[in-house]
Amino acid sequence: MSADALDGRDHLLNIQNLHISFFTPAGEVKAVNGVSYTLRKGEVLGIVGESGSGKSVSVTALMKLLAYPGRVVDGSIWFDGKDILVQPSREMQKIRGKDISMIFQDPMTSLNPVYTIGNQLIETIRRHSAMSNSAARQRGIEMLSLVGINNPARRMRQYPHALSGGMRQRVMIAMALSCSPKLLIADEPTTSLDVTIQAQILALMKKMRQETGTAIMLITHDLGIVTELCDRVMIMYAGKIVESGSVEDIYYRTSHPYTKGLLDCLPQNSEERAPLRPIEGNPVDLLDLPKGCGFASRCDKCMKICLRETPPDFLVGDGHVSSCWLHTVQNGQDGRGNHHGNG
Amino acid sequence: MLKYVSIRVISAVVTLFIVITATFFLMFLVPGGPFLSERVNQQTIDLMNRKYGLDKPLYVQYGNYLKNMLKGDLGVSYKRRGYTITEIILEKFPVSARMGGLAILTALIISVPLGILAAYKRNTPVDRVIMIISTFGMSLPSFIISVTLLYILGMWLKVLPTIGLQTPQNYIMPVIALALNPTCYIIRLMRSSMLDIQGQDYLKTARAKGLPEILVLFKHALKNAVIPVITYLGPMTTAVLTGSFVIEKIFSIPGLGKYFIDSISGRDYPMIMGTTIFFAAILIAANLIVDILYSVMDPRIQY
Amino acid sequence: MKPIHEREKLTGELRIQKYTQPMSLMLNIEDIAPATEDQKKSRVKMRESTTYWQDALKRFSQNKVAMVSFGIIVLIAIFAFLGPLAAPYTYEQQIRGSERLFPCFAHPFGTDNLGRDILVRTMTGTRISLAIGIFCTLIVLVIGTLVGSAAGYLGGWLDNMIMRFCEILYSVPDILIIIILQISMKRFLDSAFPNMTLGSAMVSIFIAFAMLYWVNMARMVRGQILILKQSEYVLAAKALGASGRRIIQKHLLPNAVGAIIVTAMYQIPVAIFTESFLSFMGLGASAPLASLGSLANDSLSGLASYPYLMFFPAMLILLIIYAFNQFGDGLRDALDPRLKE
Repeated sequence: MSADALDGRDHLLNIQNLHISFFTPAGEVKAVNGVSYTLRKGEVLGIVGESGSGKSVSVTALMKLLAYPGRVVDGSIWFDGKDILVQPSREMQKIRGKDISMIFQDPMTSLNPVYTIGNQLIETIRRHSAMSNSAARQRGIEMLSLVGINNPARRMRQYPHALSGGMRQRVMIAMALSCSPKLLIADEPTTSLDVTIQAQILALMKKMRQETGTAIMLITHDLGIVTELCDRVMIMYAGKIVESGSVEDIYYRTSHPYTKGLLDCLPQNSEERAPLRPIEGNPVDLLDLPKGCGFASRCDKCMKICLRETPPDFLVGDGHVSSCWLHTVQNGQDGRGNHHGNG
Repeated sequence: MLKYVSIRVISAVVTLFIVITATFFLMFLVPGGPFLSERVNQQTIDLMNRKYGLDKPLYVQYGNYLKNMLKGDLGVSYKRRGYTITEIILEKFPVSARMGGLAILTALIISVPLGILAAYKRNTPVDRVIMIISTFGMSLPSFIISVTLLYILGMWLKVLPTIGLQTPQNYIMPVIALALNPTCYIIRLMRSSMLDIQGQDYLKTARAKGLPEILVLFKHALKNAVIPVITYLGPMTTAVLTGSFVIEKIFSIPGLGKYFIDSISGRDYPMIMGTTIFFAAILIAANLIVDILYSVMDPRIQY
Repeated sequence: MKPIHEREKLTGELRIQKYTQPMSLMLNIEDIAPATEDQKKSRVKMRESTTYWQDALKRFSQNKVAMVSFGIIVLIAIFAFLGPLAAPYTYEQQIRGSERLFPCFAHPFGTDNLGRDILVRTMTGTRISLAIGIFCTLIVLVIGTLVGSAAGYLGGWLDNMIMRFCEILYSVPDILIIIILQISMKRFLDSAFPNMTLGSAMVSIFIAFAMLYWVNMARMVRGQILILKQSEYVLAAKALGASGRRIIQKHLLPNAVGAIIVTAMYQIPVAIFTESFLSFMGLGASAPLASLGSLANDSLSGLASYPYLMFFPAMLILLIIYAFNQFGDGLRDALDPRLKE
């Protein structure tokens, strides 16, 4: 039975109650603690959070590529009608690169230095199709020119070290999209790039999304780039989703104190410059997760119950969910919208 | 590429020249010259010195030595009269080279797969057993291995011949003794380099592309992981060469290593010098080849 | 992970997501009272902060193999330095009528063809090996760090010269260099110090070690200093106004000192091995003095009949080198924070 049948919606991805832990010598590190979300075909979802919030780990699990001490402890992942967690590795290999593909944070290290661009590109294409070597090469060259690399035939013969970081990320995108995947996971794709290159890569991803209609999961710690690309945003903290909703929900109808904190960290372009306010304190220790809300110790609106019990998910608007005890006393959105509305 | 190779060749030649010069002058610092130890009168010593050109000023001797060396003439042995050093080296070295080459091959064939296996099965009993044995084998001096093998297999169980290199069975013990240290070292090197590479992003990419684990391992990881092993080929040649000194002694193999040690105790100075320079030349050449091989394997090397 | 059938159930159940409407829950007044700073802070458990050395010591003491190796080294040192004092014979004493004895109560390791007690000779040999080890550590620490830091800090032509020199020393095997140095120094040493107990060959081995073994250390120290000189975190620390003392404590110590100690430790087994190798070839300790290598060499000709003469010195060489290697590995794991998990 597929997820579609149950939900009656065109869900590409349905993740429910996902728990992931890393079993280290020091103890069980609970990286993801009960994460549920869905993704529609062609939708662009942003996952935002600071390092250690579990955003990368949860998508790595979806590819079934968790590294050694990490394990999915509980929950389910349904992708395109398939239960990912029970797929044998042979089936997963067919899904990876073909249905789900991924690009990473550091383009400098994500291409194999001892093989040419062409070799790595052709390998991907031929893995998932019955193309001949020359046809795959042709397809590779097409893909390279599609992502805006000039002189693609020559680039095919070059080794990664001959290309700049931005170029390599373009190559990664070309490689990821070469088999027309249904879902592209971009794990901090612009973090290690220069600001100007960042903008180019974002523009490229936007263009590719329009042309191929692939769904995208964009993982980032930068709320700024989310607005560029995403339909929907999820904010993660300490392995949980604290707030999710449309980009407008997150920006103008901000509900969760952590999201507010994140937005306050952003430099604003508005005329009346509010001072940048950092979020005080340190992230929680995932080895020894405290009871209650993970953000409580850093929250300036922290209440006694926050220290004791995990807040439920409050539906504060249409498709806008926030997980905070404050919603028992107020109706979510604050006046922040006005502040941002003009900017 | 060509430029890189020629720079490497030139620097190798310069290194060799410095080694020759240093050896020459160090040997001639020996006060009294090579014949002092022999119980002969002064007249005979003078005669011998004149015969071997040792009465001339040092720089003239040095010039002659270099000039002769270019012609492939390393001088004559004091002890084995009537033979040039070049002749002796050409007679003895092939024996050592065959044994050393076999040892290097054996080491590579055994160690690389074991290293990969250990890395792939890390923190399992397989890995632990491989690691314990290889750590132990690395600390085992080659002469102790040889003596142990010699006693157990040669003298006690009497399954293998103990002297010389006449039959293929003769090779077994010396080759094991020579190969053990490098084998154990490469296993560890290969394992740690495979483990280093396990965390690399490009393997994540390869897996995310849907490549089967076999291809990830043998195409994407292996070519990167063997690079440290290639850099070890130079030191390994050195280890095998110096190891041959004692192993040829223990198994009475008529190779250049044993002859070299004998000429040290026999104080055959030109022979010692010639052999030292010859060994140095071989190792410098080996390092040169390794460097070039390395630059072929790793495209990141800037020429 | 739960068994598959259970997960299926769970999945079906949770697919209809449950959300809570705002202001739908009734909470006690107390619960929504603001939490005090102290209450908030009490949840954040700071992990005990430890200094680099405490950390290293802890990691080392948890490493069983390294601790056992350390114990073996201590035992061997007692054996080598205190053993000969307790023994009723000296290493050169020839006991008439006790030649070629199989290990027995009076001579636990047996005696050789001249009636010398192998146990005492092995102790003396071990002493030489350990002395070589200690000597090398000192040499490597002093010369290596000095030359390396000079090359690293000063840079320029001096750096270039030193590194070229290191490269040449590196491309020729130690054994060859030591043999050549030994030959050229022998006559000089014989005439200058005619009555050395160690013998000129041993003394020249010491000198040769002093001339050779600083190379690794110098390269390593130079590399560390170059990295530190241009590393971003030192720059960052400076920009943040960190004092020189703090930079050294926080950055230089963990990075360089750990590596320096580890490099020095790794040089010990190399030196001990080289000495035993040379002595085994008859180029080291000469009679009546015995080193482990020369004891093994002496017993080679009678191996078929008297294998125990070989067994004990060979076992000790093995044990010493193995223990030092494992000890070095343990130190590396303890001192190199980059390998910290």
